Amino acid sequence: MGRFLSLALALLISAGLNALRPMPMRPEAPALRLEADCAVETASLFALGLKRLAADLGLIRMLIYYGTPQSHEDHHRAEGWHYPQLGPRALRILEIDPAFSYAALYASGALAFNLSRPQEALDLLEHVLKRDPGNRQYQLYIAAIGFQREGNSRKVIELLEPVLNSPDCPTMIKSMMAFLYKKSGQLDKAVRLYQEIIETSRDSGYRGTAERMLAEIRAGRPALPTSRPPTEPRPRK
Amino acid sequence: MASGFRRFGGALRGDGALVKKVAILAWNCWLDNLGSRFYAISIIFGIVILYISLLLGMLAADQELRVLLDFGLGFIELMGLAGAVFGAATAVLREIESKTIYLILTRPVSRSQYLAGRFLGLMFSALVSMLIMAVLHLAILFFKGWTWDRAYLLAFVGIYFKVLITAAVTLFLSLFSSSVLTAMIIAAILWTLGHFLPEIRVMTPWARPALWPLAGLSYVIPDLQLFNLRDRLADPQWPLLAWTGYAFVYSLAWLMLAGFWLRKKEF
Repeated sequence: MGRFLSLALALLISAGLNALRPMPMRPEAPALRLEADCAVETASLFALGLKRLAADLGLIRMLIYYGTPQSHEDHHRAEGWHYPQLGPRALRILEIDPAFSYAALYASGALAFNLSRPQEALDLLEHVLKRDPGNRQYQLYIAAIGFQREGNSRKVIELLEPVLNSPDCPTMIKSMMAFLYKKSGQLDKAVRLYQEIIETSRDSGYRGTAERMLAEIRAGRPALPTSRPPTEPRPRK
Repeated sequence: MASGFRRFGGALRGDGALVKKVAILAWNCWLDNLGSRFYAISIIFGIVILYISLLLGMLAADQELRVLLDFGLGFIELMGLAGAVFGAATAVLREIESKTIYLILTRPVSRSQYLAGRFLGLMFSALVSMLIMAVLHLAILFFKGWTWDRAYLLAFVGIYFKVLITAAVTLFLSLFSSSVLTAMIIAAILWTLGHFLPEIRVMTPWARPALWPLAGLSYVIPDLQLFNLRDRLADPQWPLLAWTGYAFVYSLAWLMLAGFWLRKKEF
């Protein structure tokens, strides 16, 4: 009897300790939790045979999520992490449409270069790379994020340059690359890329940033000194 | 509706060629559909929604074109399907109820020819309405800077095949059940199941006898996911010829069943 009691007590203590244990600093990568709020919508679209549209709506939701400033409560819930659902949302989109690499590129770019959470970005990319091992853009992103972590901007530029011509390249990455060009003194390339963003981007936020940067370059101002990864404005206004 | 048949009634007198009879019936069916309120409303609704899709596209930033493309194709499919299923469920039953079918069957037209004519007319109506929406959709896409891709045409063909198959099944169901509502509900269920066939087959292995009925059913239900070319726009491997064969053979089989049922029907 005493043995059973001590076992029960041990289990209770263990459960209590587990409950008291602080949450991990970031969500577990591939176990990234998929949220259930739009499950009905996705299931309905699946039933109608509109799989790609379900992925599109997922992307729009993700962009709106990332473009909406988080409230204090959200921060608190997220243990201090901004946009904790960015990775899971991208994964959800890729689950629906594995060919929609833009979602993974966008989310990993935002995590690594805007939110300074390269590990989360790498987890996400590794996960999607397992499903699409031949995707060169994922490979380049992984390498670029690795160099970004080390502060090696030159290598980041070298790796991401080929990605710029891809139709899947998010404007966020173009904007970051233009900034890196500017920072490293390659002003011609920076001007060209900013002009391309102004001409082709459908996002007014990035167009505004590009216009401002171009004006700065043309006014002959030196590149902004920075010791940390370049921070981009959030894409939506 | 009957006036249309009266107008062309003269052409049905005598022993006209089979193709000619079917073509005349199909043409009349198309004219009937053209004048129906549902057909006009579905096209107008489709055009308005396609226009509104511009707003959705704007939210997708870099992926605006993809969203416009997917939304447009998806919507064209749903509107084409709604028109075709409604038409197939009501086409013959309505004429049986209003007795206008006698006006045609008293001519030298067999029931099978009548059914074939109605179905072809219906499918032509669906094609025209889908083409109208596709033209507007393409105009929107080109306006937004899209460049022509042959994948669009193939995706459109895939959509049409899905509508064709579903309409054929619905026509049979309407005759079998003698109820518009039942036929439309079962068609909707088949449409849904048709998109989950690969999953159903994976989940119902033959080793489990309890699942045999479902597994067997999965080989009767049309595999609509096969024609979902717009979900695989990035995949260039499209055995179009095989799929065309599948669509026509499957539709023909259900039409023949419907014809058999109509021949046996007493009204």
